[in-house]
Amino acid sequence: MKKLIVSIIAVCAIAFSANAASFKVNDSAIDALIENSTEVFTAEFMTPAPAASVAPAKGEINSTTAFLLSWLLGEFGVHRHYLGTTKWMWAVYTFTGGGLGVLWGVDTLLLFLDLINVGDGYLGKFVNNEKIIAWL
Amino acid sequence: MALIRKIICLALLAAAFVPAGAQRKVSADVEVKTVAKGKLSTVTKSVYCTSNGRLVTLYKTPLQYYSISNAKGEYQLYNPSTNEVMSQYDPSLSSTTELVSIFMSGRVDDLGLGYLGYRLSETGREDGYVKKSFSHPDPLLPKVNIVYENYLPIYCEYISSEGKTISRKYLSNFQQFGRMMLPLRSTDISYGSGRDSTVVRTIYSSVRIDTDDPAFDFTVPADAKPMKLDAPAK
Repeated sequence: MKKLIVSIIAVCAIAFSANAASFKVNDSAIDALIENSTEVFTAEFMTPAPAASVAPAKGEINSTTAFLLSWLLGEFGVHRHYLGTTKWMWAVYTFTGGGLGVLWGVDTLLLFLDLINVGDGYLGKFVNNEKIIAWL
Repeated sequence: MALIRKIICLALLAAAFVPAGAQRKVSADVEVKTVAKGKLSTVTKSVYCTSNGRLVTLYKTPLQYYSISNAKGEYQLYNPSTNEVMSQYDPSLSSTTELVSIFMSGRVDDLGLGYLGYRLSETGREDGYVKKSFSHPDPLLPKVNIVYENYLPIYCEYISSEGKTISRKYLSNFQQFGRMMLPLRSTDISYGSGRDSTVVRTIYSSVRIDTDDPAFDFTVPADAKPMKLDAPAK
């Protein structure tokens, strides 16, 4: 909990400082943010997930497939098409380098959290979502 | 004498069309850390870029995979543990979106945006830095501003059609590798609702120029089976 609070404060600080007219990022703040965050890609991921977590969430959609597509092809938005978005989403992801890597990164993180049953059904946020940033 | 002059002119012309940062082969280790809502994910991989546009990416953690792509968008994804492969053809899967590929091919000025249909729309100065704006013919796509220091892009921001900053990218710790300058650190900040932001830090290390690592020529084994995408990760 303490780590979460420290991380949120650090994110706010970084966001605030980045909003200033500056073209250079505060590296020490980023380092602190990373240090105070809880790693979620752990060894447990290397073991098969429980059957319940890989069951299709909706129709043909499979959370493992969604995560793999996001992790490996997410810079091109392939996972968004798998999850039922508009035909132009690949262009948005590709033209922005997966949203500068951010959209891709967050999508992957959330789909992973869904895969290991952490959080509140993140996969559902993506299904048939037409918004560029599905998780907002 | 006229022949020698012609040869010299041709050589100069050829040199002019060779990108300044062009290298034959570049490889690097990459660590990508993503932080969102106090959670951190780390992906490590190695990229192997060749000047002909071929890109081999070896994902190391959390799972080991190979991906092979080229500038046209021919793409293969290979799982060595199950000997399964997925092949796709899609120009959007082009290798030209990788940062190392952009810098090794010399497309530093627009960070490869021109390749994606963006055009320079404005040039100016802000806080003593040169700033260029790029727009896409499709008005739905974000406008991109790039800021330069010593002719190198250090900052890039994406502005939505409503004028809101969607995300910012900071490139730093530039180092020279052969004829190429490469930022070893990239920090991306995206802005969600309120002050809820997401940070992605990418660190490049062990940059190698023109080495003969066999990974550059990695090919999917001929006996690889088609990948079953709906199978659980192993």
